[in-house]
Amino acid sequence: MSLAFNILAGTFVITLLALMGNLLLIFIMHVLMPRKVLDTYFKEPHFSSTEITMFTGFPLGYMRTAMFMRALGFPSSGKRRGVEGAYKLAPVWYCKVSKYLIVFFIINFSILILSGVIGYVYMLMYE
Amino acid sequence: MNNYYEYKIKNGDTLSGIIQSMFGCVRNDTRYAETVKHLLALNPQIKNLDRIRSGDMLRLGVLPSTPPPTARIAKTAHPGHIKTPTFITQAVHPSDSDNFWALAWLEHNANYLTIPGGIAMGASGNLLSPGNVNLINEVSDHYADFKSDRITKSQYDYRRKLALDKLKTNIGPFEKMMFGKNTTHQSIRIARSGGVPATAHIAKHADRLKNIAAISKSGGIVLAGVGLTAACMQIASATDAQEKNEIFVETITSTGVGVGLGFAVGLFLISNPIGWGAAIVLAVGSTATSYGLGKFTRFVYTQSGTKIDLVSGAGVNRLCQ
Repeated sequence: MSLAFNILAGTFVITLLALMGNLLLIFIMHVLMPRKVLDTYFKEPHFSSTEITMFTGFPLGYMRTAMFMRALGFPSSGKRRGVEGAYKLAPVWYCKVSKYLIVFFIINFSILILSGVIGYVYMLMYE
Repeated sequence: MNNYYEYKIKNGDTLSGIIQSMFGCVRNDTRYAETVKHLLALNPQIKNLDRIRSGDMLRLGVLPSTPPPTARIAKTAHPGHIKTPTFITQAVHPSDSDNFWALAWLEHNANYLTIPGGIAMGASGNLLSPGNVNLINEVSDHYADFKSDRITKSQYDYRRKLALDKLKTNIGPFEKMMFGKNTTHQSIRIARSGGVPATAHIAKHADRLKNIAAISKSGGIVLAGVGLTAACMQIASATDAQEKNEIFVETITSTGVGVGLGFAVGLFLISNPIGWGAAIVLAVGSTATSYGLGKFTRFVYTQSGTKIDLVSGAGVNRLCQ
């Protein structure tokens, strides 16, 4: 294997492990999501009944957490749904962690997908 | 149900030893030749029974009109290194045999279910994304504005048309799945007769979409279960630790990347209505990416030559056996 492939594979494995850690943290954030925020904003008219059905419980409940983490970390992103004031109901640390987690997730996940797709193409050529 | 044992030949096994331990007859026994003939019939893949190899599977069936082998084995001096093989189907109750063979099929063909199923569930989930569903609710809001004199009738008609045109374009050929034989414009309309509230039709279709969403959600749970069960069965039947670990890393990566993609798509879809083409592209892309990255992780694990036993470390071998 070439040095370039080793670097690519190393990057892929590190970002993959980071993703697993990231998902674990998101799960913890899901459990710690302030009940007050959900009681106030996870209902009509902010969300439709279809969305409430879809994003309640297993397995898509974590997508609800994703939405609220974004709304809490970046309040302006919640304007369209009228949830821009949700951050006032959550602890400051929760909003900050949400913000950093989302930024880290996007950067890490982009690198993971990029290295994985390039690696997969390389693997097909190698085989 | 097949009436035979599956026995994995071990180092040091000989045909006569196996026949002696399993059927209780030795070489000079009159039934020995009959037993060999019977085994050849059960194992057409083996041309010469004197040249069996360690690791090969041998089918051992009950001889016609003889007592069950277990009874014989009990009376026979056991060679020690040969253990009574596990009779896979013996533990399965006849009423469960269909489920047993369905699971056996699933072990090798789960991808035929999980890949298209994942695409279908993903596409329908994407189509029912907040952006599209909100277009239906917009009609209701415009009607409320019209009734409270905040907008005129023609303004209401125009806004309704805009919202529904956009929805129709977005769902494309999936219109029939969502609204049956009627078009989008015919379905999402104000009720003017029948003694029902004006927004009854809109509420009905919002409920319908809610049901489709619930089906997509249940389908997703079933598919995830199918995929993980199949992986568990593959790990259980893998012959060595290397193969078990390869299957494990592939499954973990596919699942983790799939969840990550769901998170990423969720962040995007929350405020972006998308069309049916994009819904399918996203679903196919997500499924293909998680599948491909799983394969790549397996490749990296194999090429790295690592001996880290993740399966034992994570206790998966105790769970999947």
